[in-house]
Amino acid sequence: MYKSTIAAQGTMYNPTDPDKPFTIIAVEDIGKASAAILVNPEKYANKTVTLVSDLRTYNDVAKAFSEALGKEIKYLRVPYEAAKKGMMGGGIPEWQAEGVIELSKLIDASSPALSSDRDLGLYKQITGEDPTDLKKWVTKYSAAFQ
Amino acid sequence: MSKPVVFVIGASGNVGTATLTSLSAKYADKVEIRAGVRNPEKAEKLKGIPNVAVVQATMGDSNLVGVFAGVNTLYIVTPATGNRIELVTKTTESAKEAGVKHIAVVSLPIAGTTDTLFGRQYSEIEEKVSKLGVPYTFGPSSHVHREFIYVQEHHCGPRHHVQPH
Repeated sequence: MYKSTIAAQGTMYNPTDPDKPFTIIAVEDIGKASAAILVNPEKYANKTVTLVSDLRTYNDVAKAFSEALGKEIKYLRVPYEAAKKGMMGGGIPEWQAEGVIELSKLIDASSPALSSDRDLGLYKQITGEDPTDLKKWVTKYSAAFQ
Repeated sequence: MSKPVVFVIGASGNVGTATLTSLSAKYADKVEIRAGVRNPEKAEKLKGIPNVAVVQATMGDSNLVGVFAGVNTLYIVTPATGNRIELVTKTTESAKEAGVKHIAVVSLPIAGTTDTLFGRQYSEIEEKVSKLGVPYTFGPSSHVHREFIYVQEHHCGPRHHVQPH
């Protein structure tokens, strides 16, 4: 994630407004929660589980990387069209690139589906553990971004 | 009495691998774990996880009813492809026919909304699965981590491992 430009340029690029919070989840947390649900499926029958590890903005993310790496990591907001072209240039089909842009715009619009803190306690309920918050995640993986 | 069988299909991506790692680490004494991938020859990482049996399984294939025989709980890691609705729906139908008791499907928090493409796709998946008559769970869903990687990796810089939606 962001390996190439953070390591090389000290910059993160994204079209999302850096002041808008959005929910994030670490892949390990998805794995742990999935496993807990799969071995106890009756408990979650006919339910939707929305998991959240943390609620952050891209400014938070840039700051967390800066602290973990000991150098300034900047966030650069790029226009949506440029982001879309970049994705398509990387081989992503247009429908999918547009879909991703739509999600970014929902974050900018503070859509509750993507930026609510209502589910923050659910991860611990399911797994009995604390989720991986942004700082923990960045610290854990910071070696890869040097 | 034998242990219930948990089957993860679409196992080779990040979500599948993370789930199998956790199942193996914490629950290998409670459940029998199977990982379904399109290409078992390429599934080196999964084969390295203890107590996981890697089997060939392609979403939407007509032979899945046989593949799912004896499975108690199925986890469908929804693929990033454009025909995901069809693949997931066919897979759930095979699961129902095979007698799978519970189906979990990776979804997104915007399922249930229709003002975005992904919202519409996942809304349709959820609607079909919920009408199947087999107990289901949607999630755990939270797309933004994957979007995070996705937009960045494809906006700038050299391509790394694709983690699509």
